[in-house]
Amino acid sequence: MSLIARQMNVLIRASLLELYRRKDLVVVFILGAVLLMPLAFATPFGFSGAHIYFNEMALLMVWFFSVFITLGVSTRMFPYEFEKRTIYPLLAKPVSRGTVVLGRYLGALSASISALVLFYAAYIILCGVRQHVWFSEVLVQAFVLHVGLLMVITAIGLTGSLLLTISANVTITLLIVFGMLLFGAKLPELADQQSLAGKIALYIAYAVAPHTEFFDLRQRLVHGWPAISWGVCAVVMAYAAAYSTACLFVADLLLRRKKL
Amino acid sequence: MSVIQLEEVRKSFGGVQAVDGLTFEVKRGEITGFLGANGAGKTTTIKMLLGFVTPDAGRIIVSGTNPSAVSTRRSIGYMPETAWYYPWLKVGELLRFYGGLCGMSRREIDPMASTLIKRVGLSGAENRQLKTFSKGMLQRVGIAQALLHDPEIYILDEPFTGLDPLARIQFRDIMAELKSRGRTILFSSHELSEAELICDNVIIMKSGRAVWNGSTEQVAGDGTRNLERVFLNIIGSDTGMEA
Amino acid sequence: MNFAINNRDYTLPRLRILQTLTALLTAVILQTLLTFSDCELPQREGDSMLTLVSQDTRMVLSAEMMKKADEYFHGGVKVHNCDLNDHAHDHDHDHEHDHEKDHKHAHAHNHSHDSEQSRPEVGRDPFRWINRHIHVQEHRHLQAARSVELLPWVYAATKTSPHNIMAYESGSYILSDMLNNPRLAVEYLKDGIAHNPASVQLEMSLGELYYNKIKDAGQALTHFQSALNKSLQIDEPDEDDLFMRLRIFFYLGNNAWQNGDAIRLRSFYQKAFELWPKNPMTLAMEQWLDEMKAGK
Repeated sequence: MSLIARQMNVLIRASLLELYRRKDLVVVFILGAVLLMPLAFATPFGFSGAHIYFNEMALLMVWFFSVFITLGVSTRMFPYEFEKRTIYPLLAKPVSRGTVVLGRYLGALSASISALVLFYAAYIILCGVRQHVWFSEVLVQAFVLHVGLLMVITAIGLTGSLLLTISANVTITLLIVFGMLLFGAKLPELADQQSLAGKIALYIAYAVAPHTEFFDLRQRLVHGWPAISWGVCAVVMAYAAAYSTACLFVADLLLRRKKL
Repeated sequence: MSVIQLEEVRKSFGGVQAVDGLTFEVKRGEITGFLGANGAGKTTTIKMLLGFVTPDAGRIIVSGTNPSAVSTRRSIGYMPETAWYYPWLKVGELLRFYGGLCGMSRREIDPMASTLIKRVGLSGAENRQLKTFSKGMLQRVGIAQALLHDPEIYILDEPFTGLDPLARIQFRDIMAELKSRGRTILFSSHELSEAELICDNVIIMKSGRAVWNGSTEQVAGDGTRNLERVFLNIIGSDTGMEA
Repeated sequence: MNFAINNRDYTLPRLRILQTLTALLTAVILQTLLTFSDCELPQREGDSMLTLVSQDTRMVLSAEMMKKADEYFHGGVKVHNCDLNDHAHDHDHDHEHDHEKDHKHAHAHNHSHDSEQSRPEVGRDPFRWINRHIHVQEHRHLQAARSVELLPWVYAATKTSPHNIMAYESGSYILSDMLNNPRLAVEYLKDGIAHNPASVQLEMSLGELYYNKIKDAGQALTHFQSALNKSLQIDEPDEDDLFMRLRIFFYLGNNAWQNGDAIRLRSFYQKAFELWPKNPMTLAMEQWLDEMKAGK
């Protein structure tokens, strides 16, 4: 194993251990169970057999909790290193700052994906037990694109953590992620209704902000629409990779300029 | 042969001159104490030696190369002043983490880690997460991680802080053993008695300059002086605490 | 600016005093304006501002839940110019009527999808191209057998705000027409009436349900009469209220016609004529009268 591969390996392992030992996941699972349990057994008007609302709520929770876990992991890594001064023994080892950024990114992403796997497993079990449908192509695509979303969120969270305080970073990232999820596709239409300055600002946002709405296949999955083409899936994942790379490049520059 | 060389090194932060024309060298196999009052420039110098901070002027050579090069840090073992490590890790996991960053394989790390855990007096605490460790225990962890990849040069920032007397003795023994193996140690400290006991050379910093640089024999002089007296003569003149 | 007395900083306490005074002054001015101005907050007697705000919030939430039900009806797609209530309003008329301003009743599936309606050209915008592939660009209608999927949102909507009359209307339509369970719809509407005793619409819907689905004319008449009483209690009825009143006359007239009661039919026709002489419902009543005169 090469030096960089070994360094990545230990950085990823440390992040995974952090996620599982800090018990964030346990809290999230308990919260999810508490929220979903009443929905699972609800029979409005005495009719059982309503599944879409449960699937939607369960998937919404998968989304919320995965974003929560990803932001939690990615936004606190560097602030913790600086606050607790663990950055010094870390950078005193033969490791470049670029490697640290990439390793921390991959660590946060691995931790988030591992949590996502658990969330989707829980989702599949819950929905499968109710509907006896365990697998669909859209489900696989939804998972793949969700990983793409986490790639982008992790990169933004990590980069933001080198500029902002944890709370400011989490707030801004959440606003961007959910703002784009809701309005990303409509920005050009909104821009056309604005004055020149507003139009320019919105078009810049349209070009620069992360298009989190690309990763949202919930509607197709929950309402049983057909799968998208895998080519489109690949394009969206390429977008996620490109966006994350750009963010990590900025993060690397920021860490190099950071006063130690 | 010098393994650490500083020539006319200067560094200022926002108008405050932290290091002002610092020149000294540390020879291979020597233990050098880096002393001075708070704010004398010790930590800034250590940060420059580790490549964390770039000097404004002057030249620094560590192990024959520029300290900002990643490869230089293969030959350095660093122990930070305030020892906070990842609290969710166990000591073995932490050593595996740092060992991996140094490019060591698991096969290399594990026997070394178990030896070091015993050597720094952490036997029996292997299965506890670091969040349960006391300050002194974390200091021992810091020593272990600095020793892990068996570097040529040790740069230790206040290594005796928080150690109990037994641990101090153990650590002195470790330093002596490292010296016997030709390793070079530069450590900053406020513990003058410890420094006097184990150092070959002493550098005393004041206002970013090395105001005393000599061997411990020179400190002793004709036998009427000790390090504390010398220190007070140099540093105490500003504080009204001259010896 | 510091106010240092005996080495203590008095800036902050002074600022706090200033802030408190400003807040008090603002409160006094607002209270005075409210007392002496003609403008009154839309409160019922005994309602606090908090009740008012929370009621509005509940209503907004409830309306959102109904939008969700509508989305479910269209396969998870937001659709313009059409909502579930349109379908609810369609169900009840075996007859034809024409309410010039009532667009909701003219439902002919002419609605369009959110992105279909103003779907811009993709052009050279790759983001738009991706979005078109990711998000569903068409809509479909939920099969009646699967309309049970709508119930959770309707149920939640009326639980969130029992004053959401449209939710009761839509819910009763789903239960009676889509799930073929008019008895359950009756219970649901009764619950709605209990929470909204002044609602002419719910009383009318209940009457219609008895009349058209359960075929219990006796019960239906009771509720039509109750709806008429409530309608007559409206001080300043608007066009919709008057249209609702016309429908009540129509149903009462229809019942009189079926029972061969020409006197009652004429009485309802005259009232309908006063409201809307050219409305198809009025004209239908006129036709029944003519038929009765002709002895058919």
